[in-house]
Amino acid sequence: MTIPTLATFELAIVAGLAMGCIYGLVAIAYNLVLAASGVFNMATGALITTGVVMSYVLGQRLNWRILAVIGAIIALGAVAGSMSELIGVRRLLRGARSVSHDTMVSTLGLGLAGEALVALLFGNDIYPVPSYVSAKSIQIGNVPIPPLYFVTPAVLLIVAVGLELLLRHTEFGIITRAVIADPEGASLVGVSVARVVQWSFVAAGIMAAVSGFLAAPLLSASAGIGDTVTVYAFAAAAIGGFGSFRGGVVGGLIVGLVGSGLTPAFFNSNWSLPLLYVIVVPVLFFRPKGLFGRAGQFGSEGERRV
Amino acid sequence: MRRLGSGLPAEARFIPFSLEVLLGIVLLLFPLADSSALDAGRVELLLVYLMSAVALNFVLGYGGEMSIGQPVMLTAAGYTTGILSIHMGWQWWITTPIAAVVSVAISVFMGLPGIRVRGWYLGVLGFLGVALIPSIANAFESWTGGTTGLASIIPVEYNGKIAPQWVPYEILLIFTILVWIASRNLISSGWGIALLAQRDHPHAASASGVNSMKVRAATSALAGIPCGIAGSLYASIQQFTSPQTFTTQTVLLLLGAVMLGGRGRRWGPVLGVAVFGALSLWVGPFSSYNPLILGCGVVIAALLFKGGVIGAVETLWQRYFMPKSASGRMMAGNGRPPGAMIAPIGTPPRLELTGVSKRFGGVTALDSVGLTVDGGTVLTVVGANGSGKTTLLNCVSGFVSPDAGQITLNGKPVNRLASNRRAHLGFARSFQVPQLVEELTVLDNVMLGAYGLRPQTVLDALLRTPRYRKRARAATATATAACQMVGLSERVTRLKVGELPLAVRRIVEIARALAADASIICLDEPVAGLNLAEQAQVSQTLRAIAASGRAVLLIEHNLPFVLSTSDHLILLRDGKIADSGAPPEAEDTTRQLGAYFRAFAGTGEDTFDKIPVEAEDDAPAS
Repeated sequence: MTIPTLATFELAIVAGLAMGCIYGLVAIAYNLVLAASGVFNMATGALITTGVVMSYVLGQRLNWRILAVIGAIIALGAVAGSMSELIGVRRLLRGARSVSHDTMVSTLGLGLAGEALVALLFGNDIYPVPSYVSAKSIQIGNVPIPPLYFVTPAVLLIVAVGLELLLRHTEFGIITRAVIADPEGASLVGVSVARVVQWSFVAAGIMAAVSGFLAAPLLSASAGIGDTVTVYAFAAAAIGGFGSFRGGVVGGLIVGLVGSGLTPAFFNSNWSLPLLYVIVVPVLFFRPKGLFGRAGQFGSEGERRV
Repeated sequence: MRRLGSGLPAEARFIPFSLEVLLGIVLLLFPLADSSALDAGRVELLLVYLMSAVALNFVLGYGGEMSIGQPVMLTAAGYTTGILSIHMGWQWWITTPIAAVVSVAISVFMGLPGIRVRGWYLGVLGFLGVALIPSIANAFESWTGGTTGLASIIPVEYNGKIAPQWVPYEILLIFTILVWIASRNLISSGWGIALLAQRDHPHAASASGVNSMKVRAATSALAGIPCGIAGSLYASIQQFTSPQTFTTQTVLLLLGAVMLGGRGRRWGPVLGVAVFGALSLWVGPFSSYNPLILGCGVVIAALLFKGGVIGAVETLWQRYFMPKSASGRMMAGNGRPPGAMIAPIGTPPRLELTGVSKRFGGVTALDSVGLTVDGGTVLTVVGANGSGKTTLLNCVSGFVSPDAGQITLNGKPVNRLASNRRAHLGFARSFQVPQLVEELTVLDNVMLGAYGLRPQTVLDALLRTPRYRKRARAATATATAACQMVGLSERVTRLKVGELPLAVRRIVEIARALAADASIICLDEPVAGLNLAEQAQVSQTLRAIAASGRAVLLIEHNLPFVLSTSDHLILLRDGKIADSGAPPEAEDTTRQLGAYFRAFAGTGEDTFDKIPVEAEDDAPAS
């Protein structure tokens, strides 16, 4: 084990937090869908891959402007997210009492097919994606920080604040919270639960695709990249609390710090996942709802049983 | 084959036993037909998948646990054999048992969080575990060979030379057959009934004395064995193992196979592996179309059939080839008074509650409730909806632990005991919504009562020991007798619970409680939805149970039934005992009942408006 100097220690923390914001974004995507529908959308990995690959193909091969790339990725994420709901989930959510096993398997299959499709079209090579912002490091104290590391927290902040405002201050948000708190009660007063579920998939699809866009310069573009991100996001959602908004953010930061920051810098990146597993298992054992998962998911009263 | 206390799988009705034997023989003789097919190890890989799918079906289909760590176990078993073979020079027959032990340990470890979390939580954790494989292999590169894997593992030898390919194939096949038989033996035993019960209705299983934790731990451990054997043998056959041999795609293949074939169906994994295996061989195992086809197949499997192909065939078979069974008489009119043969109990029990209180948040469900139920009597708790009746029952049977107060049986406190421990002391109960395993027959469900207290051990069930036979015979006899006591006709006992109307299911629950030979029987609205004749029968049965020295604690809204059955009434209002006393020798007229109950309540309030509705329906008067 190398003895860390102060600069690398701080850099590892910043790098970890930057990746952590991406994991947090994916964890929120998982949790939003989970809270609204009780479905753990295993197809999310394919959506991330799509975001990564599109940001390379559109930005590098086709030389689109960055805003056009972002727009295309958001549109694609929305479409792909609603497709995953339409194909993998809608039929199963109708009627059945317990759907967690079935939807897990169907979205898993969908995700695998999606990833395989991307691999067929894109090939199995890895392409580096240049930074969207200046590659020149910004010196803070004596730590040189790549500007990209400021982008991911900014996006997470925008998404978090936007979602918070949306859920707390709009009619749609109130309806969503009602569905999260009590789907049966909400449908009895005339709320269309199915529509809220569809919107949660769309929003989560956008978040997953955007997190792919953010991850592209950090991880390079390749067909299987989504799986890598989802594994960390699993851990983030589990540690923070499945179905919790704050939990997703905090879990993402913890996972980024441990898995992508400190462990690779001072130990060996091979130990990142085993270490996270060793953290996740006791957390789920002693606090099955995670550190933040409790009543009040996404600003609603009460807790959804999944 | 004689059926002994078995949950005979429904598919046995249309898939004859001879097909199993035939398939086995064909597979055993396969190398004679085409030995070159064995060279690439693909057929062997299919057998590995089959074994693992049987294990997954066991733990997911029958056990209900989303436990998808099979690739981890297969890989660990492969490395165990590889490392022992390379470093110690040990052959497959030494390394395979060790690999199986390693695999069991991993299976139990990965199932540990299942003590606290279930469903997709466990699935996500399983995925996390599978994703660890490359990291761990890299982290211990000096042992595992890192990403390149371990080569030159000692192959299966014969007379000091490498055995021809058919030898390891036959070894693998024999193990596959053994796993298949073991799975069948377990599922069709009393242990299997407990497994299904804890999957569908954990509360009912627990109230019948099943220790769900123990059953689930055993399921996890057992499911590790096939993967251990398969992973180890496959490494020996290939003389190679690597972190890429079994991956997330393996999870998909196994899950897809079990879902497509039919989870919780014996033939499900066979059919599913055959389909997915054929697809994979068709496009080539390393083709990039393979995951695409696999993914689409899994989606189709998950979306189209709930019970897989086998389940669909089962439904069709039932619709077109089985007699319409749900119609006709459910209850035996055999002239014998029901309950006549209930054996008397030695020492009459005495259940006492003192100062039992329970709060849920701001709601006081029970407020210092004290009551005594003596053997030989029926005590009925009445009260409006939300007055705390079911909470009271849950406190007695151990699903809710009271905030204050004491519950004693024969003077011994039982407060701290879990519900399955209480079942062993003589508690049994029924549920407001009957909790029965729908795919099992009535008799099998009733047998849960007997098996909960005298469980079949895993080893007995696997090996079909004399003790297994003895217990199965005893449980069958007890269950049959219990069904007779409550007046279920013999034909009904052979029906699947899924085919029964709600009313009969309630009666089956009473039979299950009787089969447990309990001394304290708690019933939650046992006659809701029953017709008058059935009510009279249940009433007679309960009187007979009381006459045998047992204690009955009853919750019921139906006043004529309550008055004709109870020795003692307790009125709950807002969690407090408002009044209590013996019922009068009243005629069953609604007017009198209403007047009586208003007096009983001590007020002129309409607290009981809801209650006499059923009574009015049954016996319209005035």
